[in-house]
Amino acid sequence: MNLFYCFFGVLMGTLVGVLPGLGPSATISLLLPVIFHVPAVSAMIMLAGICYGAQYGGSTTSILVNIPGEAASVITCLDGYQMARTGRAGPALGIAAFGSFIAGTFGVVGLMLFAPTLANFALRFGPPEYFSLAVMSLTLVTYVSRGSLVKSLIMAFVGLIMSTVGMDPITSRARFTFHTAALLDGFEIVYVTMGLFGLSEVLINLGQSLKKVTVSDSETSLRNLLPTRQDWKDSARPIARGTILGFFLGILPGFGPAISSFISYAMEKKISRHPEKFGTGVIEGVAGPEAANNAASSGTFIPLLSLGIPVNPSTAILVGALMILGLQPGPLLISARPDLFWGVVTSMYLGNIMLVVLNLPLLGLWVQILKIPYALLYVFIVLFCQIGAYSVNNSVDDVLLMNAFGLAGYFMKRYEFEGAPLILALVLGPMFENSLRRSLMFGGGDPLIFFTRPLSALFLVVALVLLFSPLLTRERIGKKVIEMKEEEG
Amino acid sequence: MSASGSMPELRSGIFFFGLALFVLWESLRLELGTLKTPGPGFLSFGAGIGLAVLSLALITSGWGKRADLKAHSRRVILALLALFAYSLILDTLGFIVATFLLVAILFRLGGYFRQWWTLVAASASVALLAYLFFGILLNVFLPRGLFSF
Repeated sequence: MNLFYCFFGVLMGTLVGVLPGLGPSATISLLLPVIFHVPAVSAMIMLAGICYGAQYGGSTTSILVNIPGEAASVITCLDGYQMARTGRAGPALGIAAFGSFIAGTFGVVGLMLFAPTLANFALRFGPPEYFSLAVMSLTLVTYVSRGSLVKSLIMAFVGLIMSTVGMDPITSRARFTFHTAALLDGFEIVYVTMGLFGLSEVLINLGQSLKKVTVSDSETSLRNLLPTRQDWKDSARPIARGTILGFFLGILPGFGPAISSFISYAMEKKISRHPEKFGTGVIEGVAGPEAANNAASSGTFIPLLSLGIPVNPSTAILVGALMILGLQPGPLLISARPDLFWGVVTSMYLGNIMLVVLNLPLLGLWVQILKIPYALLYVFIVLFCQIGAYSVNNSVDDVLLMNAFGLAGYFMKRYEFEGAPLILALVLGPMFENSLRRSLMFGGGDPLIFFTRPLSALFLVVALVLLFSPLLTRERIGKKVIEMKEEEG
Repeated sequence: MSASGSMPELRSGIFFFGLALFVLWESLRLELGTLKTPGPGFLSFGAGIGLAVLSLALITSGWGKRADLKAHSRRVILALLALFAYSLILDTLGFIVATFLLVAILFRLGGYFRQWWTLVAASASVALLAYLFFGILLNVFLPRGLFSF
């Protein structure tokens, strides 16, 4: 049964990776209601499959038709599409798939080795460490967001405020509920993410031309998929470097597949003996970033499963999913539910194999799916959002709230506010508040408690350095990502 | 169409400053407590202050910074109206009827079906198939409404 859910997850992941405008966060949100009907391990296997499956699907359309289905595959367009134009789409797709497989498998081995160790280490954490860790995670997420730092911080504060809606965990007093029963339990992650990511994307697309997702037959012809010996020779080192880089960046909050792939590309170009050829169709420009985004995708599961800390919107929704399933995300998760941890790890090994076996023969089908007119597709996305929001509590209020968040997300996109810091703050908010209040109570009201414990102090110092640093790296990354987005548009 | 000359950062800064003031007022009403025993309004008050400071920074940086913001598309406004209307009529009219109406409006806005009968047939099929898939196959409890279906 778990094999079926793994297969379904990676298939859905590949599909959303292929389709522009529907990312893994929105898809996981759309499928959250389904997890009420399946066992916890199967549910997590399926949702994890969507996360790493999306990285495979995104490269296909980047290479074949220059349409990145995912932010993490934007950079693959540069050399992948140029390779396709010169009749080398096969080797580009082949190396993307095999590189992704190697990196994905390495990432799973890393997850297997690092997550239990980190979870054991985290057992020493007390409320001050958790508070400081949450502060560092939120700062890192805002630090690497593209665009304005002030806007990202505003979103993080709005998320924190939203996390206080509902019953106060200590005094049980209702906060910001305005006598509305639907708000007593606080905002549900399901409808918030569906609205902010899924529905708002549809509304933004509705405001533009609905004919943009069209592909001509001439663009999709394929020949030999296997890379040559020379291709392998050129790609081996970029794959190795991309894997290690992506894996470690994936562990850090805020980085993740998209930024890892960009940094990998920049690194390959910098150390290459022929940097001027990058952008004209060199295989290193496909191999490195594709390996990096897959390794990063596995890396994001380490803080999720060992600390209960999400590092990007997809893993934030997975934290929500764990809670919906009645599990407590945190360092005790692996020891309390070893079946879940090892089930997910095993499924990731199998899922990576399934993705290689599935993806190469199904390339034609994925390209055909791109031909579905958006004027039809968006209706189904909207309908899934409505049903998904309703089915969580069988409540029309949730549908209303989801539509309200869709409207909010639409304005956020128009005014260039990012959703990721808000979602992460919303998910981390309860931990943030509990650990803050408990630390202050234990410390007799002395805020120095956060600086007198070495680990807590370390996390806070990292956060402060990031916040007050000259932001050179951040601006460089932000500018590049904006440039990439513009190229995508 | 573009509303040229608008100041988007100033506008959003004012909005978030207003939100921050509201949060601060509500937090004070909830009781802040003390540093030794933080109350229910403690975190929201702190976050409200952070939000107020940042929105003031946005107002300052956005003052006089004009940008061409695209006007709202008619399609988006109509879709939003349809979605909010759907949330309000779903319980009364039931899933099938309400979904049929919503899907018909969305298909019409997308402009994919030109003739009215194809629009009606496609919308009815989608509403029925969604009911069969979610309501019957996945056992999701969907509202039946006035007509009991």
